[in-house]
This record gives sequence, C-alpha cells and structure tokens, in this order.
Amino acid sequence: MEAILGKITGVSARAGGRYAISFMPACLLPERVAPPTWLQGTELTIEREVADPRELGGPGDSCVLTPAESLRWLNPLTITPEVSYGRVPEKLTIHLAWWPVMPPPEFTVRIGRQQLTGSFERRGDRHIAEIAMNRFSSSRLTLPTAVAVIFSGLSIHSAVLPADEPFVTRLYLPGREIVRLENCWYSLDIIRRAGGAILAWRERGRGIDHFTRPKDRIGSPLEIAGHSDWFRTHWHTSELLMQAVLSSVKGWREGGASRLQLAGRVDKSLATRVECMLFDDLPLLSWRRTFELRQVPRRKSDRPQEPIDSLLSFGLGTRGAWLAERHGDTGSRVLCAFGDHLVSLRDILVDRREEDSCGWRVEYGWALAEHPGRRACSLYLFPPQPAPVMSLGTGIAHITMEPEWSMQPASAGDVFELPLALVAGECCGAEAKGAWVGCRCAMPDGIRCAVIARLREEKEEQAVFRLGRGRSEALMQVMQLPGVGAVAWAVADFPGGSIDDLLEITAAGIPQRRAA
Amino acid sequence: MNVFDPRTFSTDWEHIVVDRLDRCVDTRRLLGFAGALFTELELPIIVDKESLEFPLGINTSFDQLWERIRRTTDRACALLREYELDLYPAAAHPQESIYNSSHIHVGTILDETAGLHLENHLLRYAPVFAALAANSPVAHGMYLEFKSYRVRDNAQENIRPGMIRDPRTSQRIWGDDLGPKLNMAPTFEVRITDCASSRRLLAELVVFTAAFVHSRGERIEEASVSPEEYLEYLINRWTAARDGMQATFRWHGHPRPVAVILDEMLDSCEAELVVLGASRARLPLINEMVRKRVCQADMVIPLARRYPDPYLLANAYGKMLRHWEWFEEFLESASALEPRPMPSDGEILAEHLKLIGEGTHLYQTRETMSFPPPAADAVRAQLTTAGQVAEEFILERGLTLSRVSGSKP
Repeated sequence: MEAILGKITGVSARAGGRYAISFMPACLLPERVAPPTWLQGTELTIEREVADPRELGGPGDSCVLTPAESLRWLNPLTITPEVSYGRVPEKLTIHLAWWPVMPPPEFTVRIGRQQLTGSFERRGDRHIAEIAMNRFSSSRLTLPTAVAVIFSGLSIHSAVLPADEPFVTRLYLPGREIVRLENCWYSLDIIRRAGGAILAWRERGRGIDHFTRPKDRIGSPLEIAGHSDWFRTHWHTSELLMQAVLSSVKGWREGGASRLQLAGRVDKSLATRVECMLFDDLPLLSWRRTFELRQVPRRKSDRPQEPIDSLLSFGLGTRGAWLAERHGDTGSRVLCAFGDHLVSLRDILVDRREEDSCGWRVEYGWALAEHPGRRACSLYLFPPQPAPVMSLGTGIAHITMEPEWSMQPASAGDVFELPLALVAGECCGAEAKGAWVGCRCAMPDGIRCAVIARLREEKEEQAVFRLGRGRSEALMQVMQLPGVGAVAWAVADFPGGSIDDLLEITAAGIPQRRAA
Repeated sequence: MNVFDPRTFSTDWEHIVVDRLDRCVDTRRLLGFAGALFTELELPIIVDKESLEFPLGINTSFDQLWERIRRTTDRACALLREYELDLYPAAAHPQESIYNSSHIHVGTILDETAGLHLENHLLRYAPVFAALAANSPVAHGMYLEFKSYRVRDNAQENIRPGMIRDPRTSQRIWGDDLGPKLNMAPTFEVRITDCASSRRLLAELVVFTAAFVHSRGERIEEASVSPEEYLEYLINRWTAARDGMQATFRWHGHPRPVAVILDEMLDSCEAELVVLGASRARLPLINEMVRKRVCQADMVIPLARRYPDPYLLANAYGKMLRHWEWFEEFLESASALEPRPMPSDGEILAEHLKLIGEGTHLYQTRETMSFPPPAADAVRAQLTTAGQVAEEFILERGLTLSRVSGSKP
C-alpha cells in the first residue's frame, strides 16, 4: 500500500499526549514518486500519540503516514457501487473524503454521451452526492460499460459489467487504472504499470483473491503479491521493467476468449509486449511476454569494432508472489519436478532469495505454488525446453516463485519470448509425473469444477471429481497452447452442488495433496 | 612483557546517512563528505559500502578517544545538516538491508603468532562483547526475535564465527568475530560488536574492550580449546544475539548470566583500564547495563512495538537517533531485566528444526548456530532418529531435509 511522506511544517501539543503534525506532502512511499497533483502545495494535518515527542521531529523533518492515514488524501473520491452486474444501479453514491478547496467544485456524471452535473452535500466531515440513475436512459447501453465521475481532473468509474458473460474492459477505480478480464471462473486485474502485471486474481466461485496483500503495510503491491515478469542484462534483475508504464492497451473478445494486448517501450533500446487470453470456459490464462531488443549500446564508432561489441547478455524470468503462510511445520511452498523426483521448496528464514538450482533444473514445464492453510494454489506452465532454474524468495510477509531462464547472447533485432499459462485454484496434486490445480465456479444450476494439468506423458487419462456427495469422472482433454505445449484439462458439472461443498479431485492418477 | 606495546586503541564507527525523504544516501555522494571530513578532522574518514565510517585514529587514553568521538560526530552532523542529512547511528535499518558496526581495534601488536594464540583464547569472550553491544532488534523487516540481527545474520558475511587456528598452519583471513589484523595498522580487531547509538557508550565500550584484551596480552600461551568449548562459544554467540544482556551463557558447561561474566571481566582489567586513563568507575553506562541487564536493543524494542510498519519505524527511530543521550536517558529510567534461561539441549535442537522447512538444503541448518560438521551431523541424526525430519539425497541437489508434518520445535 502507498503512504504519504510529508515535510513537517509545525507540531503542536494537544491533550493526552497527542500532537497535531502539519506537513506538506513530499512523496509517496515506497517508490518515493511525486504526490498527486491535488496534494501538491497543500498543507495537511494528522494527529499522533507518541511516547516521546522527539519521535516526531520538527519543521523540515519528514513524517511518514500509515496507509490508513493516507487513504482519504490519496483516494479522496470514491463511488458506491464500484462494480455492478447486469444493469446500471438505481443509485450511485459519490463520496468526497477531502478536497483542498471548500466548498468542492461540481462534478460530472457521464454514461456514453449522456451526462449531468451535480454538487456535493456536506454530511459531517464528508461530502456526498447521491445520483438517481433513472435520470439516464440505459436502453441502448451495451455492457461492459462504465459510469464515469469526473471531478476536478479526477476520473473514476462505477463499472457496469455483464452478469453472465465473459468480458474485458478498462476501468478507472480509486487509486488504480486496471484492465479487468472476467469469465465465470476468474476476475483478473491487469495493470499497465510494471511493464504489464497481474495485480488481482479473484476466484469468483469462492470469492478469494489469490493476490491478496496486507492493507496496513507500506510496500510495492507487486512485491508482496501479484504476477510480474523481469529481464536482466547483468547479474541483477533490471528495475527498468518495473518502472515501465506500457502505452498501448487493446482489449477485445475473439474465439471464445477475452484478449488483451499491452505494449510499450521499456527504454530506448528495449520494447515489450504482453498478450494475454482468458479462456471463456476454462480457468486458464495464457500470458505471453515478448521483449524486442531494438539496439545495443555500442563503442564509439572511431574505435575498432568486433562482433562482441554489438552483443549483450539477455535473460528473462517470471515472478509469482503470494502472501506467505509460515507456520513452522507447514506453510507456503513451491513444488516442481526434477527427473523422477518431486522437489518441494519451503524456506523458513525470511529476507532470502535462494537459487536452489546449481545442479538441476525445473523439468517438464511446470511449477506450483501451494498455500495449504488457505487452500490456494497456482500452477505455472511454461515450455518444457529449455528448462529454467528455480529461485525462491522469502520476505517478511511473502513468498515468491521465480523460474528463470539462462541468459543468451543478444544483439539488436533479437526477440525473446516467454509463453506461460497460469491457473489458480483451491486444490492441487503434484508428483514427478505431473501436476494439476482444481477450481470451481457457480453456474445457474449448480457448480462446475475443472482441473488443469501438465502431464509428463501424453496418454488417455481420467479426472475424478468429488463435490460433497456427488462424484463425476471425465476424460482429460489435451490442448496445445502455442509455446507452452500440451495442457490437459477436464470439467465436471454438479447440478445442485454448493460452493461450500468439499471438493476433491484425482487427476491422471495424481491424488490431491493434503494440507501439511 | 605484554604483547601489546605501546597500548593503543580505536574504533571504526560506521554510520548510515539519511535524507529528509528517509532515503539512505548512496556511496557516490558519501565520498564527498568523507573526503571533506578527512581533510578537516585529520582522521582517515572513509566510506565503507553504504556507510560513512569514522576511524578514530590511534588513541592512548580514554579522554582522547572521547574527545575525538565528540569532535568527529559534532562536525559530521553540522556538515550533513547543511545538506538536510542526518547520521543514523544504528546497527541495522528497519527497512534497508544494511548492517553496521563499531569495530574495535586494540593495539599495538606486531607478533602475529601471539595474536593468533590470543584469538583462540579470547574466542569465548566474543559473545560477551556481542551481548554488551547488541543494538539491532529490527533489521530489514525482521522484528524483535533477536536483539542483534546483525550477529544472527553474520552481518551479511561481514562477520563470521571464529575458528581455532594454529599459527603454523594459518593464512590471513578477514571477517572473524575477533583476531589479529596486521595487514594494515597492527591491531587486534574485535568485529562482533554492533554499531553504537550512544557516543558515551561507544567510548566506554571501546576502552573496556581494549583494556580487557590488553589484560590477556600479558601471558600469551598456546590455547587448547576443546570441541566442547568451541561449541559453547557458538551457542553463546547465538544466545547473545537473541537475548543481549539478558543472556545466560554456557560457561564451562554451567549456566552463567552474561552480566556476571562481564562483571568479572571489568574487575579483571582494572589495571589495564588505568593505563588507558580510565577505571571501572569511569564506565557508568556499562556498570549500569551490567546491573540492569539492559542493552541498546532494549531501548529500540518499545519503539518497534509501537511502529510495526518498517517505514514508520525507520522514520521515528531516525529522529530519536539524533539525540546522542537517548540511551543514557533510557538506561536511567529502565527497570532491571531478568536473565533468560540458558538454552537447553532440547531448545538447541528445536532451533535447528525451526530452520528446516521442506526441501531445505542440509547446509541451511548450519545457519542456526554455525555448528561445525560433527556437531551439525549429530543434530541432524537426532532429528532424523526422532522422526522429526526426513532426508532425501539427489545427486544434483545434495542432501535435503524436510520437516515431518506435526513435528514441533
């Protein structure tokens, strides 16, 4: 979560060991980027209780706010509901928690070409406006659409999304601009920042976000949870991709999937593109990252040139990060296969980055992150060859799974691709012969369950689903995902099943892992 | 004849420098300040990694050292303040991955062979110095399980447990808890100590350490350190990192609070303190720390409890660190703490088990207490025999250990 770092302009004592601290916002932590325009040049005040007033400092010193203290200034404008399904809500409530100018200026509500202007009403320390949406004609609206609220240069959306159809749409929510891809299984939030990354991965059936993160700690969102990619041209991962905001965003529906293409420059010598595709009928996201090396810094032209002078080393990898369970004898872990061994990695020490792959590589093109305590798991599928090495990172609150491919000599014009397929779900199985993740979603007449697997051998296999008292067997189908290779899957419907029933799956003879 | 002649001492005091956006100032910019202070103070001020380091010259008396500490820090603070910067004298930063020390140099020693014998002899006292100087209960997001994360983490390989060395079969090495360092100024260096946040405590700590090391330089004998004594040193080192001045060490096989050991050490070097212009009575902070079993980490702990977010803690901590007397004030008002029990064999085993997850490489378990191979293998055998750990050997990965579900440390 972001938080404001301010420069103190004054400190004054209040009753009960409390102090009022006035400050000018200087930057936002953790990245120390400039504060939003509406905070620039504005003096703000917070109140703190401290054991020793010297902790606060004095004029000119910095003061760090908590994410909670910062929220009303960073996201002053919010809207209820943020998202509605099927039709435009009857009423929209716009909240203004704070604004530097009082009374606040008027706002505009816009749907398509229709718009109206309104003003806020003061209620206590807040300003609120309620908009009856029957003032707009919604007969010609096609979903997804958004009700935009425009206020003094700020624009936020109340999204109106299709109730029972997959979609892809761009949304401006308080504090974040996202592209949302949704099918009956998942709701994914993808951002242009960080060179294109996945910020939220909600399972719609159980209503859990696999990328949930603590709301009370200052930190980069993707550091603790999310999916991002990376590259390097030296020992260390380049920070350039994390700083890149991709300029081109294109989302569309085609061939039974929601598709999204993000593209842009990392710097003047490197371009990148993400093409992703969320299948309508399966809990499966295809994520293809491309880097194109446009130029390599060369020696001065008046010096002799050798072929090596137009080369650099280029390597890439991917990073899934999740809030870690760390309970001593159980907890989050990473599973993968090497030869006939199932390799399980679970680091206890924090603040670590292990490259546990000196003499071995992740074989058969899969890696699985498992969090048994909250019944959450994520399966990453990638090309079986070349095989990556596995790095594992542990922070105070998170665990990362980072398959990394060997660096290669690279020259201008070279293109590097990383095709992935990602699955998240509630149960999993893993053996040296393969791995799977199972998921469920609610359908109008019951529950649909699915399993997605990577199997070492391609042969006819069955998946056995048990949901509550119901049992269903399904032949596992195989599809070829370009670059990623064979992906096995099976689906079973349980009419009358409940989202609360216990789900157990055995796929290709690989039993479900038990929480340990 | 004392091996230290003439009697000299000093410290290399490392400081993080922060700006008003709470950023740690990088090496490139620190170099200019180091150069300016070097010229002005005529002390070899340098930059070490991301820190401004104050080597305080060659000192022969307590008062001389104190004067240099005061003069150097006063001038450095004034210079940095011109650029809205502050010293951040802490052994670790709550949010950045930096560890700092106040290494103590004891001189003058020209006999490296004697220095190596002395190293073997003084190894058992290294954890005592670690406990006294413990000042990193928060480090890079890690909170309050240890009073010196710097010692627990071996300062990211900038210190490491010492070894019993035979001068006849030794090479120069760098980074051990303590030992002779003749490749530069000819001194015996104690590296295990955390960076001090108090100027006055630093002065006392340096003169006491120097006097104690001098006191052991009178009769240098070949130390015969048994494997059991070596293990005691390693366990005590870990205990010092965890408990600071509340630690109870294994001392010749028996529990002995570190405060009691320190009390005896202080008395044993009274004559050497006098040579350096000090006396036990002139070390009021250390005396009070011994009496109350309190170290600098205990001053930071309440602050860290009130600021669970590392960014907020770094901010408040930095402001308190500007006040050189913070520790003195804290010590005066602090209640005496009780000694914590000496770690039992069961606890030692449990601490090793704690570091075993799933697929944990054998060598990672060594990070608990840095046990040498026979002792580490014995721990592994005990855990395996008790059914708490399963082993797997793959040629390419080596031996890995996994905790058996349900086994509790």
